[in-house]
Amino acid sequence: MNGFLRQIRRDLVISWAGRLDSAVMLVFFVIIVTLFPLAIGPEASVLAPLAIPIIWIAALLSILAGFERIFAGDVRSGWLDQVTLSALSLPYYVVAKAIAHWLVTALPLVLATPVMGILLQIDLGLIAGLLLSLLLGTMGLTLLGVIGAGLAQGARRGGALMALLVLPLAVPILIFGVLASASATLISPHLMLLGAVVAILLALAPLIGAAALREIDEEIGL
Amino acid sequence: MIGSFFDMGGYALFVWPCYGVTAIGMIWLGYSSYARAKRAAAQLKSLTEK
Amino acid sequence: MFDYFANPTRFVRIADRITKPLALLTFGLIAAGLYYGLYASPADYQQGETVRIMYVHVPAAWLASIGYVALGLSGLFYVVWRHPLADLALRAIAPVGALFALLTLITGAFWGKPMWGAWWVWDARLTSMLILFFFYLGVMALADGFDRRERGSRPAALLALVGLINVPIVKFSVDWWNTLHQPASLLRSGGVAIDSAMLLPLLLMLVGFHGFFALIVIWRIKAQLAERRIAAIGLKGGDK
Repeated sequence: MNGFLRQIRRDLVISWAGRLDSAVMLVFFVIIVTLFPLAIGPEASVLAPLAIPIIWIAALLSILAGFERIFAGDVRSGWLDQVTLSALSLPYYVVAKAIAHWLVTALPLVLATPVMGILLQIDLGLIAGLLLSLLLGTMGLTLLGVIGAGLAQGARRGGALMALLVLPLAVPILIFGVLASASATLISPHLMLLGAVVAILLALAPLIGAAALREIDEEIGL
Repeated sequence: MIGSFFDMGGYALFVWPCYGVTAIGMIWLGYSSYARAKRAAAQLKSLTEK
Repeated sequence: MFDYFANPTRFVRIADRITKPLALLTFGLIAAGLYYGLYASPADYQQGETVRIMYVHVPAAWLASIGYVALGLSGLFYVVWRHPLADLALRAIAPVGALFALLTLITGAFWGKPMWGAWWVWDARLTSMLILFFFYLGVMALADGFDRRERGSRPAALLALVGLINVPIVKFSVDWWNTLHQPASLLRSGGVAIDSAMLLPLLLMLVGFHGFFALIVIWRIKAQLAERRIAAIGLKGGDK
């Protein structure tokens, strides 16, 4: 447990040191959102029904853009080798990376969502539902991220490949997430389905990520 | 009779491209897979029989 | 049973023996299927001659679907049991599955235009097939995405495994999405009443396509085995 929490803390400290990079991701999210009204037009009656899907897609793309950074630093610096020698097992390391990544990348995004919603003329009553489902959905996307990042770590077109791999698998999260955000009740069947998908990913991601990372560890250089 | 075969009840522009694309795709994949196996076997043969 | 094929030399020996009969059988089945499908079977009373598209569309869709299962199983065999031919099977199956998925989409579009009036509809099954196609592309891209070729085998196998679990979830979510967004289903998806005269060409093409699938996979595994040995010889310092 100690190693697990220390891994999270290590990542948070490193991310804080490079907080400008994390800020860039947030700005990326905001810019994507603002592109839509520019393309669609300012008409509130047209934007409002599209607000939830736009925010979801912008969140998805922003999170995808950050996948490359999940393991790259640890691999480059040799920290991954240290971890495999340590008492912290790889699946727990993967979960720790996912938690830290979510806190640094997804949480600011979710906190910025109400403002983004207002920009897109969203019906204010929907914001609570949107926030709840985004919280859950971004966790799912982050778990997909550690899978994708682990699998494509060291590949030639690493970042793009990670996104390509994850996008088909992200479809359920997008579908259930948007439906949950727009639903009349806060705890809807869609939200529960979203939760089920995230639960499955929580079970799957540490194992797949660890299996993928072991491959890197066995390499002498990438 | 032959005319109606090609005409496909007026749906010729839909039915024939389907069969055409399927045939092209499968023949292309079939040929390239076969050729690759043949090429590799021949190369291996020449390397091991020296 | 799979252990029996684990020995590459034995695999090649068996493959060499069955390739010719398999090719002849495949060709025969498809030829017969084409004869019955295009000529000696009736048109549908509702869809007219466009029903003949079914004889390529359905086998392609079926093979794209079980192809991905075969892909996932190859991944499982590689990751869990380290079967020596599993990653070769993976790399062999992916392109065939991808081709069938693409053919399903294209023939589906050509079937959809006269049936539904639109080249593309976000029908649940076409949408799922589109995502499956992207998934095939992802496995292929990952398998060949590393400078050192063998490095890609494990990630691709793991991805295929992930797909085995996730693709059903994707199909379920797309189904969910589709039923919710289309309250009045004007699209009678898959509602072709199969006349027994139509069943024959369908089955002929279906089995024929299976034979094609097996043939391509065998050829591609053989090619990879030979290429591996060639590379190994090259590493040992060229020819003797």
